Amino acid sequence: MLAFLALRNPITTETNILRTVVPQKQSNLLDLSNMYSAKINVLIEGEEPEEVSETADKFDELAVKNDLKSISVDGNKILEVYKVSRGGLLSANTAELLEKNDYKKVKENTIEMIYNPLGFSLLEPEEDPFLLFTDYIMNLGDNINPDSIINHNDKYYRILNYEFDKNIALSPALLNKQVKKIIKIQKSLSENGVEVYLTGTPVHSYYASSRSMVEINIIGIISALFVIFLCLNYFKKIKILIPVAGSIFCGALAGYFATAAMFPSIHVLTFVFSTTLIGISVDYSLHFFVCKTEDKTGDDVIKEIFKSLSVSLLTTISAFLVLYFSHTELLKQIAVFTITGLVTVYLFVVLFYPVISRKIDLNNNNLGVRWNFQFKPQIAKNILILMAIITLSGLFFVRTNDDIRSMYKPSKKLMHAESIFAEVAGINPKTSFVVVEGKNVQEVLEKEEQVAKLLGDTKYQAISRYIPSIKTQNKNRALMQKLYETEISPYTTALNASSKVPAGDYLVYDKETFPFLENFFLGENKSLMILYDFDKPEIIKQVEGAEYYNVREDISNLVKGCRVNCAKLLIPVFILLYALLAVIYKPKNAIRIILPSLCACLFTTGLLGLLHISLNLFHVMAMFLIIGFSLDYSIFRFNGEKLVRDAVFMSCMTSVFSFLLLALTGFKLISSLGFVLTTGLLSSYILSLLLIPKEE
Amino acid sequence: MLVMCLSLNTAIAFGSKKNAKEIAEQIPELKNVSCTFTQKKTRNDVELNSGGNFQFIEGKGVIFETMYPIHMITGYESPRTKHINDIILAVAKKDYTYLDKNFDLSFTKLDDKWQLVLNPKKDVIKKHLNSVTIDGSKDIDRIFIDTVNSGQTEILFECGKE
Repeated sequence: MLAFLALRNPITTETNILRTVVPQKQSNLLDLSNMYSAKINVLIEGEEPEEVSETADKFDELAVKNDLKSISVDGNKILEVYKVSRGGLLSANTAELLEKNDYKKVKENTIEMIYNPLGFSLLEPEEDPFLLFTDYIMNLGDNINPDSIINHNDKYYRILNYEFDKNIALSPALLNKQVKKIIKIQKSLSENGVEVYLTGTPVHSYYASSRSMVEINIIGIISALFVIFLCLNYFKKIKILIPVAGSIFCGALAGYFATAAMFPSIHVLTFVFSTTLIGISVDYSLHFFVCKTEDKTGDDVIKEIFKSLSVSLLTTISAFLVLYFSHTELLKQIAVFTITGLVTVYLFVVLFYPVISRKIDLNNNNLGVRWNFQFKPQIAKNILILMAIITLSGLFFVRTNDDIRSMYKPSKKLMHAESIFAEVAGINPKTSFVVVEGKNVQEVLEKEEQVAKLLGDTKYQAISRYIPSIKTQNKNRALMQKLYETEISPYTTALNASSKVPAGDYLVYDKETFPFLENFFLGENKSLMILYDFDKPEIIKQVEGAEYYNVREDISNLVKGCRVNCAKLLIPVFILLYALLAVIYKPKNAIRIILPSLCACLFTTGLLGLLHISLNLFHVMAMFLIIGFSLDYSIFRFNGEKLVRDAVFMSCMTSVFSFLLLALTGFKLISSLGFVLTTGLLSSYILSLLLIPKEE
Repeated sequence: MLVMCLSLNTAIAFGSKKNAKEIAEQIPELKNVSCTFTQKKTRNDVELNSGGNFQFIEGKGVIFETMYPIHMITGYESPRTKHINDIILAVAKKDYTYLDKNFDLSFTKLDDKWQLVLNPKKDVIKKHLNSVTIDGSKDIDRIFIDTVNSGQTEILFECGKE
């Protein structure tokens, strides 16, 4: 049924980490954060300009052959379009002078342009006596010559900008394949004193995913070997792995189908988190196998462990069910995936293991070795005191960090490339955005111009800088006409200049002529303005339809909101779990069962504080997993007989070992999760040993 | 922006790279220098004269401080003059790849005097610039810029090392 529902919807995997916290209604924020996802910057560094130019040309030639598109425009075509409409084009500075009737300053500027030793005019003086057109064009941008060499700290640089085709950019696998080729070019050209640096999102993604892939493979192999080792060591047989793998496979499949049926796409982090379900569901299987001795049938074993399994399932479901009522889609997906998966594994164990055990010999042959650890009272006391000290002292130092970028730490090499690129290119780190919406493109341009007036001296980029609105073009034409009529100076008459502003078509946006402006459109009638060093966001509200975005701050705020929501859910989760356990095991026992989980969460938080690791959203999310795992340990220990405690130990060891390996990985998000889960599970297990001794 | 557009790589270079390299080797490497300059702009028999101080800073470019008839400073940092500054810098630092990509070069040398003529290759530059001629010995002595719309500019330098 679930599969049917899932297959009715096309299932896609969402890889954008921001999707975890940014709601769909905030699509502007997502669009803005994805603006640079297909762009690659190349920086060529050398001791001499010649070697830099030569290498840059070679790189360009090879890059274009490998599907990188140079971000370029047809200068001739654009200039001709501008020429036709020049009657309505004025630089902002000149327009302001003309509005003030400061014709004297306008003329002074013209004379300066004429005497400028390196200056030139784009039109005949007769056509443009005040050089207003040349002034307009020269003021359009930063006049970056793509061939020009930049001198910085006694070295020479050239910057090349490229972007991948959208089809490639949308496919992570394809993008990585292409980036790999570009890195090969980079390496082949970085020689004889010339260094080629690559920066940009696709490069970071490539290195991060390549490294993660290697690490995941290694972790997968080591974890599998560890589980095999444990099974061989304890059960003296490996074939019990067959039903374990079967139950996990069915659980994961059911979880996947349920999530796919309920959500339009599944986030990749849902898979990451939900695979930890494997750790929880293995508990059910292990409990069956440790109790399945020769003298018991499968049905006997199920009867024996049914209460433990059911209570364990119920508590885990309750913990994850609370996540479903959060306002974050990722948490909802994790809840659906995990709950469905766990229920499936539970049913698989309860319904099929007795049958399977009749067909295959799954008896526990190891009746000698027991892993029933128990601390001596003094040691137990010392451990408790130490954990309490760490927890209490650490909680004072707990800090939070909601900057999503702190979750990813690039390699030193990449960080160096980014830093040197920012220095040479003069990239302003304080970039913010204004998204402008209107009924049509003209209204968008007019609103952009209203925003631009509010910006004062703030530097910015926007479509309206290149394509003034028709309203502004009419106004400019009138200003220019007035200048021409009132200032027919001897200079202009000597040059036989016309006193009439040239007629011509309005300048309007056309995708083919201005392909480089396409990126400024976020939608049909929605545009983007890029602001540099702007610190008065409140004034943007004066323009209706204009909305200010500081992507980094906005996302941090969303992450913060999500973290706080998540943390707040922990309290009702514990209350709900306690209530459930109190009904099943009596209130006093319920405290002993739930205390290891609660203390493990507090201890982990305290340890993070003591180690000066800032608490983030993913740490808080990991707390739910700690509850899910550790409650099982307590419930099984409380309910179970001696044999079951071996299962708890084995289950804990396999999970802790896997998470420990994750803690050693390079991707900070995963490693911080691994660290928290290792600490949390280990401490909860130790606490369960202390609080639920074997005499129970 | 359009200055950027003006210098985009649309035309295919057909000059001899070896030639550009050989030419660059014959031009002395230009060092930091301070000079005075006189400038004559000519267009349709109208002549505009100006003059002032000039500085060449290695790796950066040129700064013109016009003293008469008006006072103004035009530096390498100005976006309006970046393009011509890039050419001078390329000659000074012997960036023959850049020169060869953008210009057809012709070079003559007599004793320690040399002359380099740069004719733009790219259509978008050709529409505005006919040629740039640079005369020099140890330093640059003269720059002659022949434009399509703004007439000719001749700049003479009188230099003494810093």
